[in-house]
Amino acid sequence: MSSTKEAPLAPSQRTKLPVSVSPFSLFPSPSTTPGSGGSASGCVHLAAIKHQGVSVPGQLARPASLLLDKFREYVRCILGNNARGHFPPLTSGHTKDTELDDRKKRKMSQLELDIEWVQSIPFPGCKICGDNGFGRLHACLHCSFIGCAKHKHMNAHLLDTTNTHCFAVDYQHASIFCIKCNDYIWDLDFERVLAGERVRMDALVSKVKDSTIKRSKNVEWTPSLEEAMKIQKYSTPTRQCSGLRGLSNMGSTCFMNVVLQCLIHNPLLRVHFLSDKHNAGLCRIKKSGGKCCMACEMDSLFTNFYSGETVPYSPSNFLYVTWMSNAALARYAQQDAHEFFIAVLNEIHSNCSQANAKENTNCRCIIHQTFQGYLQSDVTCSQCKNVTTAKDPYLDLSLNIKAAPPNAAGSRKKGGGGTPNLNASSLVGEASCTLLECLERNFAAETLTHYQCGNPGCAKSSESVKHVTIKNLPPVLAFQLKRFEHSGQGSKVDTHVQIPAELDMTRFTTRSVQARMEEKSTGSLKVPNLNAASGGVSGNISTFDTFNDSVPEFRYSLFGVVNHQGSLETGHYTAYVKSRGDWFLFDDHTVTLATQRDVLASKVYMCFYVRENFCFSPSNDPGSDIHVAAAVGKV
Amino acid sequence: MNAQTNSFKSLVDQKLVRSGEKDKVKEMLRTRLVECGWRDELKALCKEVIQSKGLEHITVEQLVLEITPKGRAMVPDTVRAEVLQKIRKVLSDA
Ligand SMILES: [Zn+2]
Ligand SMILES: [Zn+2]
Ligand SMILES: [Zn+2]
Ligand SMILES: [Zn+2]
Ligand SMILES: [Zn+2]
Ligand SMILES: [Zn+2]
Repeated sequence: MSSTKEAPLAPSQRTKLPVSVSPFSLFPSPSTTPGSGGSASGCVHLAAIKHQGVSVPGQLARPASLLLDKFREYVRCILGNNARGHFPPLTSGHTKDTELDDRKKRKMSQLELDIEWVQSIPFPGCKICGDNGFGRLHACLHCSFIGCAKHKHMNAHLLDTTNTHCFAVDYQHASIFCIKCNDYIWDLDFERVLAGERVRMDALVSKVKDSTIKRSKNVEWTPSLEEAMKIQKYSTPTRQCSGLRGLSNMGSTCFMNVVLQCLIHNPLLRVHFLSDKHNAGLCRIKKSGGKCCMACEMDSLFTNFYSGETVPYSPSNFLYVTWMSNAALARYAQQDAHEFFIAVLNEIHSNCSQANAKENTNCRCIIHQTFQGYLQSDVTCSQCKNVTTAKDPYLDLSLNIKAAPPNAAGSRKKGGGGTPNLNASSLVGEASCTLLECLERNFAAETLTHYQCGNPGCAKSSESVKHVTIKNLPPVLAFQLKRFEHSGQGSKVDTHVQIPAELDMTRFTTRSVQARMEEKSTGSLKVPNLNAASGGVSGNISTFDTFNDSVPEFRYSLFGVVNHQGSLETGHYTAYVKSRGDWFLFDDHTVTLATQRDVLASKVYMCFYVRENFCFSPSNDPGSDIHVAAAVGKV
Repeated sequence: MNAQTNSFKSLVDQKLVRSGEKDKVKEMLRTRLVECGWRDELKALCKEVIQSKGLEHITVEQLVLEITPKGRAMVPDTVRAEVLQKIRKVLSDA
């Protein structure tokens, strides 16, 4: 058993992984190609050796588990080599033997050991021609041969009949090549190893870049044979369409339907509710005789969406609970989807959280765990240079599309997790912009004209500069593009905002902004102190590289979009949601397959991103099928 | 491609690797290509090619051959210019 947080990467420290019941072999995926023997593999040659001569279901045969081990070793080297640029040299890195002993005595921290290990990975080269870069190197999974693809040296090795080697791994992308298929292949057991190693390496890179990142413990779980049998016994195979269901429009309720679809396809909420973390039996409110609990309604939605039923569902109970809990939402005919979204989050939070629901700064309810991050605002007085720092929680980020009029600058929207208006540049009249441009404008430094300095030695009213940066990023990042001006006669900003499928938030984080400012003012990079995090010996081993840098932890991928057509009063909402790698368009009761191009070209009102570094990403999600199977089986 | 270009290429590559800038250039290029939507477009193009030929009738090698020229052409000029500028800077600093 290993966890991302503690599991060391350095081979000397590596724990032997339990080999190996393959959970995927127990759950033949419905999309498995016929003829591959029911095993989750795209290559018949690999599938054939996986369970050959093994009587225990799901257990890997020895030759296959050897391949898997070799693959894991290569993957670690590949990922390490690819990430090497992120690791600054250890300053204590002399290689004299005496010092080595010395360092051993001092006990290097795990982080330092991992970094040293990454730096010791040899650069590979083709054994035949010495090519070490452009020739697309491959490593044999049966022996230690490394050859290039360019001059077919790997091909020649695999075709050599004196050894019967069949599989090689691409030394850049870690994809597996089968000589008998004469193509790259996929196999879920190998994919899983790759995904796990990616998460570990990304965690290491993130740790090196920003030691303040707190990673939630991510425990890898391989079911024991007994557990696996139990899961199999109580599971029903997941249907290809489960989780996809239209929602009937009950009279201008499309605003609700789009938000519910985005919540149901939120990977964190899905895992939470499908693993039965909230239901009527556990519910504090229901137990004390209460009737209205939105978390319970959410639970029942999940049950209905994964029941196998495909006819449109009427979320009338959900609507009823919404009205009961939020009088303001019941008042109008056509609602704002974002308002509804925030109301639902607050309501589920107050239904789930223990004791004092008002105090939500450290709330660990599913809503706060999923959506909450912190903004840091630093106000620097132009007179005394005193910096006043404040931390504000947010559940989503509301971005201005147009530059706000000058007099609106500095006004803050309270509650609901709104972002401050921060823009100064004027871009009025632009017909199209990107989400990144909106972010840059919203997080640009802003000048406050009448600032009352809090420094007792200064206390002047003068000009100051305000910088808002992102202190913490949540697992799921929700954006609202401010298309509606609720003040006044309710006009709509129709600017097309182009959103990316992958979003890197690094440059907006407090650490990154501060490093850039530091670099600008001193011309050199500040070396952060890693000791606090690693608990190890001193050693300046971290720099926050500011040039277009990217911290794996801060990369996100898009999984949901809410669109709005027409005017505020008479408009219509639709949503695009990603489910198991495919995009779907939800228009009330109808669900249709869509392309990513459609999604990115649509008129976005709200969009949802999930952190890329999860073992359960929305795109590549074999694991969730097991959760789903287990949960549905219990219902 | 003649031998001279090749040796020049490897010289540039060596300089980039030694200065430790190669990974950074690669990372920057990756970020830019994701930002401008190139990656998404290319992905969609790959899907189209695979769907039109049928999954069983195309290998990764063939896909790469077919997609590469289109992918090269799709790289925005601004991104090309930025990468070139970055490489120039590394070479002149070295
Ligand atoms: Zn071999
Ligand atoms: Zn070679
Ligand atoms: Zn094969
Ligand atoms: Zn409840
Ligand atoms: Zn909460
Ligand atoms: Zn002051």
